[in-house]
Amino acid sequence: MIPTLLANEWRALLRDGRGVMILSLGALLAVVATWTAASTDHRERLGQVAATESARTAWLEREADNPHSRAHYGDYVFRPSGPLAGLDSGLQMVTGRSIRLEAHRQNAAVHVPHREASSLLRFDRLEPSTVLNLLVPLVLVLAGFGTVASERESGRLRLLRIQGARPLSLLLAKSLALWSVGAALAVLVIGSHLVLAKGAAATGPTVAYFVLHLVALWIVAVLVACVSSWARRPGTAAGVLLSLWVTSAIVLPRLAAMTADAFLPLPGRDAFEAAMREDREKGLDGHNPRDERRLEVERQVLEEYGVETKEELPINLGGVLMQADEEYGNQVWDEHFGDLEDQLRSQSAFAGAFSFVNPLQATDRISMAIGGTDLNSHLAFLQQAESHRRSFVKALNDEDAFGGAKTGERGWKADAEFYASFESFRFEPRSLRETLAGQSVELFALALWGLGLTGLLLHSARRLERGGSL
Amino acid sequence: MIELEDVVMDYGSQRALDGLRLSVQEGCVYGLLGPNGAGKSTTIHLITGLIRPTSGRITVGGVDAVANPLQARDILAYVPESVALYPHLSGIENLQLFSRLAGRKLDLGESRTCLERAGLQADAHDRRIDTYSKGMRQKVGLAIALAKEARALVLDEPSSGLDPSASHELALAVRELASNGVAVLMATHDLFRARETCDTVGLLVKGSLRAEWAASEVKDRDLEAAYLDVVTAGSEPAEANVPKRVASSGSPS
Repeated sequence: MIPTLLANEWRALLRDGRGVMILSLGALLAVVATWTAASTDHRERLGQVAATESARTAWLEREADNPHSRAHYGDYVFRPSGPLAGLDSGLQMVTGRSIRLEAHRQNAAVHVPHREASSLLRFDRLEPSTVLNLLVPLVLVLAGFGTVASERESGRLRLLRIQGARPLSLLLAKSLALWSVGAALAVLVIGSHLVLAKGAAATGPTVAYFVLHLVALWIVAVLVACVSSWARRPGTAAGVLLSLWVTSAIVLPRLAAMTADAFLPLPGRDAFEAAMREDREKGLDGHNPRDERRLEVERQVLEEYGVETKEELPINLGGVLMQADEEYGNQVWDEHFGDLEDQLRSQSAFAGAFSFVNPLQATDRISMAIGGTDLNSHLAFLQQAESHRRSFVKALNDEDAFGGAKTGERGWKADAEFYASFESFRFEPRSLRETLAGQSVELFALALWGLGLTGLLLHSARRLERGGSL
Repeated sequence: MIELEDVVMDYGSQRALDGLRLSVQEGCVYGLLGPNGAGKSTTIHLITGLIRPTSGRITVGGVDAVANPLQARDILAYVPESVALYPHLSGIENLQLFSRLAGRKLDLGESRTCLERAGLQADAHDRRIDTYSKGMRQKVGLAIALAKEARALVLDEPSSGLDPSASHELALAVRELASNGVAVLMATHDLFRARETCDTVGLLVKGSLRAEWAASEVKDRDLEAAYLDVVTAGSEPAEANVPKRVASSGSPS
């Protein structure tokens, strides 16, 4: 029975001018969004490869120089695009993806308040995730608001039921028909992406992304069919469903962002950096200023080498002091950035809780995570870049201290072979398993939505069975 | 074939049917007359299992239509006042779709035969329904009922809005079904068509059957006068206007 009803739904859609128009518009948007996003992604990937090579060449071609000078010259690290950035650019557009690594300072702190952290908040950018997370649900609403209500209004529902169509079969067929429209658009988007990505698409994340949207679209399709079955007229169903879409796509994401900002505010960039500077100068507890720390290190080194003056040291005290200051700076950074990261994660968790009232938000957040463009991916990049910076600066400071220079010997230079031994930064993205584990709240919320909608489907079918067909 | 015993139907505090007793036997066409709001449509919705009665017993072909509506629907066909079909399908496609839902897969030849038996001209079979007149849609509705090979047929105001010719053709088709042993219950306002088509006529007012006549006797009497007595005065029809009340309704004429 379900295949018969499903085939009829498809036939209605294809023979109805409005259905064809809605589908064509959806398909056009999907293709245009995928093509433009793939072009942008491709251009950015090429640009990033060129920039990485250029930075490496500049590092290697620089004349032999003093390690501390080289530490100030620094190096650049680049975050590669997420595996599915061509489908969901997520935070990439607002976080920046390159960091200059240098001694004494961390340039990585990019504040990403939650108001920037959702594609649901950025209507201005037409990309595949916007199409799949926002526009395809709208297409399903427009194509399906009358799917049961018009059967009732016309009187066909009675005939269908008396001819033997069971309400549950009818609702399942209607839901499947709508879902298949969404699934076809998802196939179009993801298929176009695979073609345009020219083999660069990662298989695991792509499959996960596809399955995510199949599940999300099933939730939307069932909701549309159920609301349509409860409404006495198609116009009522359209009004309810459009209100739900506006609430889910526009109101709730903004409400989540505003309340996250209000309850869990982030420090401004200037305030954050000023606090770091102050702690580095005065000490984390305010009682251990920089000059006193330097004197203490100097005393320890002289004692270690059993000499009275720094001129007697067989090493360059300057390099040791630099590294000691660096390590103190790292403590300051860990504390301040740790607080900031905690606040960012709290904001993110706060917004994530909205997944329980809004399945579009759950889908959006999981979509960004699978795409490797969410907050967690960005924080992982910052942590890896900072870790790389610390190894990089320590190696330079150690060379400055123990490479052969004496204290006060300015102009000492390390050779090119030493600088060539530095390996380029390689970002290690999180595995798909880690990514999904990080979205357990959103996945749980989506599962609850699936269960809840299944319950609503069964309840709506029982309601039709008991007299709601009239 | 169709039996209603002491059926009561309440919509909230509103009583739509009040102890209705009605019986339609095989091969009989029963005309259910009554003013708007008398309970005709409620009766049909109850028989077809679309709603459940507050109390009472309804059987179709011996099957309890309240406890087992799906089984009851297997032997029941329904033609509404305005047959709502899928406008994107042709007459033949609608027939095949609705028949398949009833578990009958019709080939093209069988479909055309059904449509022709229902009186739909061959040149209309492949046209989309949105080009059909109401009468043509009613004929497709009847074809759907024919294809189901149901033992009981329920029609809700089937001739409403039809021109006399289309109404007459429909009446002929209904009579043909009855002659093949199908029990037909037809709710109607059309006294003329009821006299012409039915074997038994029942008058439903405010949820209860106020009068029931054998059509063979009613044809020569003034049914309209009796109808008006009951409907306007809310009382039993005057003796002069009352044909013989049948003891056991639904005997084939």
